[in-house]
Amino acid sequence: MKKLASLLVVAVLLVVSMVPAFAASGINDYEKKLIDYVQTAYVVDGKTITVPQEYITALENVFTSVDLTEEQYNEIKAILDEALAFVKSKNLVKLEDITKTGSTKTLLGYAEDALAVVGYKLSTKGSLSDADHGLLIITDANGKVIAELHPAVVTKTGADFSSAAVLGLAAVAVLSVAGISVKRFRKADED
Amino acid sequence: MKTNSEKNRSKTSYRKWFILLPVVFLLCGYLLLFASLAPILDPLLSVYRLAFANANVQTIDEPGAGSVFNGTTGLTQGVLNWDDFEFPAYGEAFGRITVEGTEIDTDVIYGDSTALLKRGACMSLYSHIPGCGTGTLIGAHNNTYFHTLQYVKEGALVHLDTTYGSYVYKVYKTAILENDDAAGYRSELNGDKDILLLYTCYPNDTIASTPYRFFAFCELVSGPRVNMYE
Repeated sequence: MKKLASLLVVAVLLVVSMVPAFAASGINDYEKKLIDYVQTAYVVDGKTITVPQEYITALENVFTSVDLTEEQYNEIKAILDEALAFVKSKNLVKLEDITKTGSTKTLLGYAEDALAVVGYKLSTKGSLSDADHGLLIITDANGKVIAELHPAVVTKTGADFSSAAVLGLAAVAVLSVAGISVKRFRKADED
Repeated sequence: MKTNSEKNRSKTSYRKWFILLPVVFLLCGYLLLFASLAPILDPLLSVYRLAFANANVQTIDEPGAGSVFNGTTGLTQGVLNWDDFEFPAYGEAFGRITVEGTEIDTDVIYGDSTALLKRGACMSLYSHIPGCGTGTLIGAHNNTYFHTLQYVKEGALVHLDTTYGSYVYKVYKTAILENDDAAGYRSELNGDKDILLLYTCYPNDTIASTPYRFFAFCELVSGPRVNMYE
């Protein structure tokens, strides 16, 4: 749950910071300011609450494919302020509080609204509570994947049996059909 | 004893199977053929696309097991600023990795979704590309691309060629960690040293899902520094 909550937080922060990918560049001053904002803006009782460093890294990686302007920065900052106000109003101190308070949908709503501004879309694949296979997918207006994030930092790399599974399933299907057919033909012959 | 009408009905049903069964067997046969030939066809289709689709990078829409890495600049030192090189695109095969003492020799893909893991070793977006002065996390399946990772010895060299430079790392420790044991790798992943973390599920050859991961921690020996900030 903590991973899911972390992912949702970074998703909001990530997607509200998106601009079309045709302006690839390094991390500029406005992008740096947004990263600083993410790391320092949420303060509760004098203590700064930040998302894990891995998610900041993901944000940096996305910023290398975009080039934020001042106007875009201001717009994104306004959305972040709004999202932060919501988080504070719900007293979401711990990341797992997001799911406990049912705030997931609202936070994703912020993300989707922000994405719509820049022509990007957010979708999910599988259940985000599935750390290995759940995916948060960000695509551009043409449907090209910009980034896919799963909740687990270290993902599942066990044996890939997808092809073998299909093969096995097909074999079972053939054998089942054959078995049923033989039984039916025998019965018909007996009759 | 069956009546004539019952016999006729039985014959009709009997004839029906002569049509249905071949169709079912044909479909199942094609399914079997597809599943068994897919591993062979994928690389061939990938080569075909590369040759005729005028594509210069492998993307998520162009699956294939063959190498599509376009080669490295060969740069082994110096500093690359953000405008000196092209940052990898999601799903792009931006590197090639070989590990001494193992059979690992595979493309490195930018991103690590389930679909990408079928194509090679995959770099997590939760880590930085090599040369950024912090951790790079690369994983692959234990029955394919990283099948022999568990045999790597301390001191082995890891060669990681990328589109913007050639890196050499040296394995300085290995560890078996649980997948949610972030404390076991977080300091290396987010630290201020160029550390390459290679991992795969452990042990090999288990059909059931395993919570364990085999990690090889590698320190940078040589390679250009990368500055992501303008």
